[in-house]
Amino acid sequence: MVRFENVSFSHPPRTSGLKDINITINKGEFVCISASTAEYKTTFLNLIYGRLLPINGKLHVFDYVLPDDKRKISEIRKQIGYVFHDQLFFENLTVKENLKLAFLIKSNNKKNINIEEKIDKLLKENHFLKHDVVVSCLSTGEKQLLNILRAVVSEPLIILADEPFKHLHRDEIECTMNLFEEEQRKGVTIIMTTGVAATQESSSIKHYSLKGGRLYKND
Amino acid sequence: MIRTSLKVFDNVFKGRFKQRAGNILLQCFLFTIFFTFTFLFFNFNNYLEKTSSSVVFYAFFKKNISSEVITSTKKAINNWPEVKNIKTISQNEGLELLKKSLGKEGTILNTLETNPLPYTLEINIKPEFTEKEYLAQIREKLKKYDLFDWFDSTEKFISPILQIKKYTSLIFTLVTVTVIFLILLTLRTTNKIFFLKYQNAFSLLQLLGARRSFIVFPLIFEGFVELLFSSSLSSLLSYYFTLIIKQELSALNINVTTLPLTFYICFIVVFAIIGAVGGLSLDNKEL
Repeated sequence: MVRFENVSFSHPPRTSGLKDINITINKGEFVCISASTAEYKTTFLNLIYGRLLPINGKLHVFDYVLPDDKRKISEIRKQIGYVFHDQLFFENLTVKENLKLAFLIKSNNKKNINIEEKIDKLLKENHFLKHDVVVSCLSTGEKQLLNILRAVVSEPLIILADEPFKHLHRDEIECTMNLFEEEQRKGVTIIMTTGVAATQESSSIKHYSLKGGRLYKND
Repeated sequence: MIRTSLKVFDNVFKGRFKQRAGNILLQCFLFTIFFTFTFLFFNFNNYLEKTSSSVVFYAFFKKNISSEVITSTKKAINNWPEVKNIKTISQNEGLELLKKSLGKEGTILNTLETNPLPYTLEINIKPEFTEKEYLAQIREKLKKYDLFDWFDSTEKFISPILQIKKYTSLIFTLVTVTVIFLILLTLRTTNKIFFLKYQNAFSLLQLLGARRSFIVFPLIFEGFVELLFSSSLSSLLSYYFTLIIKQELSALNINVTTLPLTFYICFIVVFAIIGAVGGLSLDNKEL
C-alpha cells in the first residue's frame, strides 16, 4: 500500500532531512513512528500525502509512484485521511459542516452513504464534540478531536495521524485509540507519529523510530 | 463532480455573493460608459458618413432661358444614372435661401430692386457615385450644356469631413482599447481580490484532495453568470435609454440611431466568455 524505496528528502537549502528511507507498509497495518522534535515525523507523513515530493528514490502509494505521478496527488489524497499537525479548518463553519465538506471532497459524492447519518453516528460515539459549534469557537483540544474525526469520516484506505494525542485528555486519547483500532480492523492502514514519551503500547502496532533522518525498526 | 463542487462552494464561500453583487455594479458602470461612448461615436460617424456621401451640384442657368428649356434640361439630367433626384430653385426661392444662409447680414438683400439670382438646378448625386472620378464625369457632362452660366458642388466639403472621420475613428479606437483594457483590468483585479480573500479556503480544499478542476469549475460557472448578468443588465439599460433619447430628439427633428441589437448580443456573449475564462486565471500560486 505504501512503499518507500531509498527515499530522501531535505528542505533546501538545508542538507539535513530524511535519508534513504526504506519501508513497506501493507493493508491493515498499524504503524507507529516515534521520534523527538525536529526528527522529520511530519515530513515523513507529508511525503505519503503528496504535500512534499521525494528528492531521491521512489515512493509508492497505492498504484501511484511519487514524484513521477505528481499530477495524481489529488487522487492519492482522496483515499487518505490525514490528522494534520497544523489545525486547518474552515473556521467559519460548524463541526458538522467541516466533516461534511471533507466527506464531499474525498468521496466525490459517489458513495452510497447517508452522510448526515454517518456524521451523527461518528459524533455520538465521540461525544466530546458538539455538532453545531462554529470551529473558531472550539478549544485547541476540541479542534484536535475534529481533526481526527475529519480524517476518519470519508472512510479512507490509509489514515495518517501526526501526533494525534497532542492537546487531548486521557479519556479522549483512549477514545481515539479505540477509533483507530476499529478502523484497522476494517482493513484501514494507520500510520501514526508520536513524540517519544507518548508512544502507545499495543500488540498490533508496529513500532519504528526516526533518528538523524533515518528510520529504525524497534524490537 | 459538478454538483458536489457547487455544493462545497455554497458551504465554504457563503459571503461571496455580496462581493459578486459589488462586482456586477462596478461592471455595469464601466459597460454603461462604454455603451454611451459607442452610441455617441456611432451617431457622429453616421452623420459624417451621410454628409460625406451626399454631393449636391448647383447649376445656375443663364438669364432669359425659357421655362420649357429649363424643364426639358431638368428631365434630361434626371435620367443620368448618377442622379438621385433633381430640384428646380426659382429666383425667389434662391434669394430666400441666400438670406437664410447669410443670417442677420441677409437683411441687406432687402434693399435690392431686382432679383439678381438666376434659375438654379439642385442635383443630388447618388451615394455610390460620390467618388472623385464619377464627380469629374458629371462635371464634364454639365460643362457641355451652354445653358448654364456656371455650376458648383459641395464636393469641396468632403475632404475635410473625411479628415475628421479619420481622426474620430482613431480617437474611437484609442478610447475603445483603453476602456476595454480598463474593464479587463477591473475584472482581473476583482478576481484577484476574490482569490486572495478565499486563498486559505482554496488551499484547504486542495489539501483535502480537491482537484484543480473541482475548485475552478464553480469559479468558471459563477464568472460566466456574473459577466452575463452585468453585461445583459447594462445592455438593457443602455438600449432602453438610447430609445428614450431617440424619441426625445426626433421631436426636435434630430435623428439618432440606437446601437444594433447584434452589437449588444455579441458584447454579452464575448464578456460572458471572458468571465468564464477569468475563473481559469486562478493559478497554482493562489492555491
